[in-house]
Amino acid sequence: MRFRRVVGAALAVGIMAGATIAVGSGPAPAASGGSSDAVLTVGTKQDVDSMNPVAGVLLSSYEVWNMQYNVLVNFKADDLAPVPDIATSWSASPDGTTWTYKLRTDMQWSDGEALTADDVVYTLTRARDEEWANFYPFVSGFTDITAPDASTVVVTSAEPNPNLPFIPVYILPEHVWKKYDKKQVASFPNTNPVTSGPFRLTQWDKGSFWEMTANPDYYAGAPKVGTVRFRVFGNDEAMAGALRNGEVDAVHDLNPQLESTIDGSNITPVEALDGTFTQLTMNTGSGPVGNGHPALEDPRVRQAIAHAIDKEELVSKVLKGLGQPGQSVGVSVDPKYNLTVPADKTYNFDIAQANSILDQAGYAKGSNGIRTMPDGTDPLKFRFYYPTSNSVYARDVEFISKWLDQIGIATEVTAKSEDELTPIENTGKFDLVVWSWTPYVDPSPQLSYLTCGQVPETGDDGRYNDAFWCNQEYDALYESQRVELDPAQRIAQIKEAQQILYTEAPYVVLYKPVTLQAYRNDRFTGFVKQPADTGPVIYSQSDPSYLLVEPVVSTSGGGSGDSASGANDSDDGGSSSTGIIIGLIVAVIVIGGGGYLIARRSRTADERE
Amino acid sequence: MARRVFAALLSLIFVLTLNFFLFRVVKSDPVGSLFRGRNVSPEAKDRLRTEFGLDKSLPAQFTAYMGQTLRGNLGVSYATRRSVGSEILDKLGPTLVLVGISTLLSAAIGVLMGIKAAWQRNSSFDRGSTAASMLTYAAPDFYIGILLLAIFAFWLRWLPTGGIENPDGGGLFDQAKHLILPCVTLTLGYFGEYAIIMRSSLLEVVNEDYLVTARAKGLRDALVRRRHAVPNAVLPVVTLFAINLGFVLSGSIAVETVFSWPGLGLATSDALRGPDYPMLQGLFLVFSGAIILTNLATDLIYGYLDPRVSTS
Repeated sequence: MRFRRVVGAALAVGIMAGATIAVGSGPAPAASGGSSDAVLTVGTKQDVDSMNPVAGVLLSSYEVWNMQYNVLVNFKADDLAPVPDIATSWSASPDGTTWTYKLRTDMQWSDGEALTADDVVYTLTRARDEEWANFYPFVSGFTDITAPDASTVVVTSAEPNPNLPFIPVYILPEHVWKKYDKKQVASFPNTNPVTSGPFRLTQWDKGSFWEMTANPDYYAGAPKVGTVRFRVFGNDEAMAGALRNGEVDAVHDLNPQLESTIDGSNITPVEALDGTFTQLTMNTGSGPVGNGHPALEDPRVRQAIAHAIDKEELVSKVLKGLGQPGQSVGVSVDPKYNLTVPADKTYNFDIAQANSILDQAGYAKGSNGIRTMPDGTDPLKFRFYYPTSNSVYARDVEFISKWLDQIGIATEVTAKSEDELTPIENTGKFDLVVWSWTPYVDPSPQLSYLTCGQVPETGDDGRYNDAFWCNQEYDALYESQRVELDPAQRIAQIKEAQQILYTEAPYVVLYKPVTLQAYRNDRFTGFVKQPADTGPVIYSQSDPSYLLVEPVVSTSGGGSGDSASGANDSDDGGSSSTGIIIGLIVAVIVIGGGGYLIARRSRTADERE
Repeated sequence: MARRVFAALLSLIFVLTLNFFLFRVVKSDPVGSLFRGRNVSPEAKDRLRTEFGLDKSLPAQFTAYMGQTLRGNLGVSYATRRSVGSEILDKLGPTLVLVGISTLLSAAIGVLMGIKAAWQRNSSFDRGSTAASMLTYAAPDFYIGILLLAIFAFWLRWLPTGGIENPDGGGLFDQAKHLILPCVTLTLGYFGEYAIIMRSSLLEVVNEDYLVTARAKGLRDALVRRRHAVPNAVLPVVTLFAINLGFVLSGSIAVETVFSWPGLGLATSDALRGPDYPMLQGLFLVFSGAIILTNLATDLIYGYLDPRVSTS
């Protein structure tokens, strides 16, 4: 149930704050039952922006929500298949428009109230009616959400929805959230949350760390670690060092260039693919706004450009091997939806072929070596933008410009911040852009971005088709897969749509970069990748690892660090401001005393002269 | 005096105005970037724009902003939906401690070194301290920080890799341990400035007649230095200190990043990403307010330190 923003934004380091937010004054679950008192410490570069699922947007916030809330149907660890969570079983009507969920009856909120069908109906209905941005796409199609009895929920849609049974909406306690109306709900801090999940937020020292404590009464059994603590780092080198030192046990989103610094038999690196891909976007010129170069409306020019890009070289030189060469557009985190382009349809890197395609299409080279339109006007000089949010884009553009130059296409390269580039893209005032997307599990949203309906018409209408590309055949496939209930049929249609995208080349997908995670295998065991083989072990769709990890039973009597075996000290939050004052006093004394000593010493020295 | 205060107030109002328009020079879409890559209906975005007041014309937004700022309300952060005032207060402490202590330390060390170097001109101490000052002053502070981090945290493992305290709640001693590396980094980065200025300013007065007179009176060398030379040479250092004191609040983005120190510097770089207009306006108001205030204070103190400067 994690939806990522594009890579650059996801990298946003949420370092903020200093004072401890008062949390956990309610009945904090004591670590007992199945949980040990082990503390798993996770290093991350991103703080939580808001603990409130209606307001937060960052990945770290989703990490908290994944750990402390439940959904109707969850994602299985290894293949993202549906597994029971609040719902124990589900069934669809023959036409696929009505789904019935049978709920567990033994679930409790952390304040002792029972979790019932009313909470589910309340959350889904409010998310739909108030268009809560994090959840609205998953509930907007529901025409009816009801609870015939305390353990049954029925949702009805106007048309079949192949994403069901998944409704990735965190179910919230009605008796808490009803106190906040539509206007107040986004500013509710939720730092002392009433939760149902395996962990619960017990402390948040903004900008420094947050702490999740195991729920001993969790319906699926208590987690095996008593506490999971997240430490926020401002830079990658420190985070890598902390992993080596044993200050943290696992890290998320480490700069892949640092992989060589964490090699060692006690550290397991995880090169995770989360579906993110980086593409060369071409402005193909459909729609009422924009002034893209007319040559890019011609698929042959786009195909020539696709032939002129050496994806293997980009992966090895720009990503230092930490990625996969691009295929078609990745539409899902789940690999089963993503097309592998057949060899006979692949645009291989071949500058000569690219040149001959352009020659045959009539784009002759001028005296300066730059091609012009077949009628001799408009030299093929493209405005080429990239965002400054990630330094790899600059390197990509450097390589691509060099290759385009070899096929007689000139470029005028401009770097822009993401904020500046977004309006340029939306108004179509560009020819080429390098940027990234990160898809959801559900392939529909990513597929929808390149449909005709997403071509911007005013520049600020919030539409996503940044290639200004419109293809009826593609649109028809998008529409049919959107309501196709047969999984195999749906996958076939999705792959066919991806093949059209690849052939028509409004995007040339450069590569899929890996996200580097790592953990200390000498301290904790039980991390699972989601999905298996390719996925991340933490910051994943539903974070199964936190329920499964357990401390390694030490045979050598403890290592240099202590967080795995250390007792779970209760925290004396609020000490930071006293500490600050005392620190200031100490500093003044040190400075004053030091100055006095130096002055005295020099006086006696002078007197000796 | 009254004129100086009035001028300071005027600059503050100018800053308020500038801050508002500065961040809007670059055309950007805060609501759009808040939701980039997520399926949000245009209506939901419009509603948020209305909530943030971004649907109004620029002059209307400006009037609203000035009105609420003058009433002491800095607005609500787009990113966290908390009031900007409390966001800034949260981050004020860590920055104040780190940059405050290191500013005091670097000034004290630098001034003492500068005095000693100038008084023993061309001695090995002078040559050594001047070289050290130049070197550390020229080195980027984040570079010094990474170097110290590599030595003391990664290699020797004496000190933590960052943060403000151990989540286990190590207490005061633990906080002090976390403070050492960033504080030493900033002190190393800035003491050279003081040492160099103090040294050259003192050298300008060492041959003045009043020092010869003082010596002729039979005063001890240390007394000549303390009572007659240093007070006459200290003004440029006071200016520098005052300027740096103004910058204490804006913190050090680079060093706060290296040591994961949750202060105002990092909050600034974070707010720029949105852009989180209310947060940026609030932060810059606090930064410029601090500089304007310290400058005013320096102006007033000058008259006391050097009677030749009039404060009328």
